[in-house]
Amino acid sequence: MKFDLNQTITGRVWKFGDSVDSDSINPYYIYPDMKDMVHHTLEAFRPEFPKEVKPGDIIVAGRNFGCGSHRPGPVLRVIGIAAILVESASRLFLRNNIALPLPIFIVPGITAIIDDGQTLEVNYNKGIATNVTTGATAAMRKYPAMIEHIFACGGLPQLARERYLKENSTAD
Amino acid sequence: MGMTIAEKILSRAAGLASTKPGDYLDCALDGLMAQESFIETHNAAIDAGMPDGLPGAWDPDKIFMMIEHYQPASTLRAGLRGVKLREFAKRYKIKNFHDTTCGVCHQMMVDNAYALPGQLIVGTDSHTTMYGALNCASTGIGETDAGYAMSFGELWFRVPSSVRVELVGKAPNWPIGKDVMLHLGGTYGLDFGLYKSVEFTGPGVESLSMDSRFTIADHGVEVGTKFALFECDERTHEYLRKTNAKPYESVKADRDAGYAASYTVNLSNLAPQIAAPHSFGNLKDFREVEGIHIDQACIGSCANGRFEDVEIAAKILKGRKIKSGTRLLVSCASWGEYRKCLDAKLPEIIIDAGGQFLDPGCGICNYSRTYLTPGEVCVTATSRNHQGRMGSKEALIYLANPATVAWSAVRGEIADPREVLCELY
Repeated sequence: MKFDLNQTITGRVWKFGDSVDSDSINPYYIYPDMKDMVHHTLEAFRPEFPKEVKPGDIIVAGRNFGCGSHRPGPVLRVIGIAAILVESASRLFLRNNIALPLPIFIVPGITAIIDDGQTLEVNYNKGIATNVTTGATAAMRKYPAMIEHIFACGGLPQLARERYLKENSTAD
Repeated sequence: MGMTIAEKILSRAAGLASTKPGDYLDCALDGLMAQESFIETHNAAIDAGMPDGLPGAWDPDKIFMMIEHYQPASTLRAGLRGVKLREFAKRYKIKNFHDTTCGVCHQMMVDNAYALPGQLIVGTDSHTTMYGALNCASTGIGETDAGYAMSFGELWFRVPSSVRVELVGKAPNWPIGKDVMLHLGGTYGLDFGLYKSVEFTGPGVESLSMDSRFTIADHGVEVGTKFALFECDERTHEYLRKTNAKPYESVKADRDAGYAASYTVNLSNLAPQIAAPHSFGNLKDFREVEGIHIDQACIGSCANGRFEDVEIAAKILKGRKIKSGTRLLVSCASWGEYRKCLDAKLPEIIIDAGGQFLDPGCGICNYSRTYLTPGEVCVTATSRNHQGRMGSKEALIYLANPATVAWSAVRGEIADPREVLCELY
């Protein structure tokens, strides 16, 4: 899936607190198959989430989102989460979602400007997340060019494929 | 200004004379550890338009493959993932492939001297930070990153800022690694090491066994760290000699290296710590949790499955019985550690006391060997106590050191190990 960083994302917000762990995002120990996991993702923190989440919704969370094991968030992509905006993310979760890619943004102060259920507009190009209801804004951290390139390629496997093809065509 | 251990290793790997926190680098890797989840790396390559999966491995000798998360397999899914990994090991000519006599991947990496001082190693498991005890900058990655790493032997890294944890005083005669990390996580927050390289240093380090250092570095990820590093001392070199390590170049921080923060932990008076459900940082005073009935007690995993962890349990259990109504499960981190325990006749003490001695592997730390039913309570010296980690979401998991677990198993309830440690030492 290519992700165009210049595209504005607007969606309903599901708000979570600090230190949401990756075992709760991916409860694969109990539900090893994706078809079951989609019905249980994040239920440890909000039992209604897997039942009521809709494609295009946005996750907003506090500090250290995705802490714990190395499991990335493909389940969140499968259920159609449009973006994840957090005060901070665990380094593994952040790196995994850049590699997938799934739009994840570090936005200090995001939890103070939006409540659960409100609509958020995410404009990475301008570097601003806006609460559509109140007009409150928070500044988004910009990624360096190296990381923006991974998003633009559609993830690290795509980047790997492009590099492989390039290196092997020059060898010929 | 001088450089920290992380800055030195990353700049060397990037081919630069120096680097500073916040720099983004393309680094050459010294190794990649992959387990059964490599199938997801393969599938990601197919999704990206490479119909046969990854075209090759950059250096088969620097890739370490292990069937260890679900070994031996107890489901069709786990069995099939083992089959696939065996196929991949053949296809990519991976010499360093471990199958039936494996154990937790991280212990295998140090038992076999695959991870060495000064190296930069990644692995598809969060506890890859463990090799930091050997002065190796090691960290977890996901399956998607692993495909790039496998193909090119390179990955992007953001140079982390470094923080120091100064260990002072002297470690007691029982394993204290768990307590150091529970204390740090509970006191400074589970993200106090986020995006950072944490260096464990100070005069207390020399009193720490290698086993305890591995516990500390392993749990680095529980407080968010990218790397959890020690410098090498005589104990480290001795450990590496015993594992027939190839020549290596250890890395020390410069005296004028820059640190974002510094913390001090006094090993001499650090009390046993206990974290209540469902978080590593949810520290409780023993007076708040003593007497809570436990159904299960576990010792093992990459966090606490080494010789000294089983040894302290055996010392406590010798001549005693586990309380009826409580089950004790013990599993070594690898067959190498299992062999050490066998040579010291530790398993029979555990068994005589009524405990179960399981085969080595990750199963002690997930539901596959430790399933808790709704309402059950477990105290465990393994890696995590997240909700549902051992099966039911309605089960309660307390994290503590192996002495606490063993003594609690005898009492059938959460108990302060100082009651018995003062008799032993």
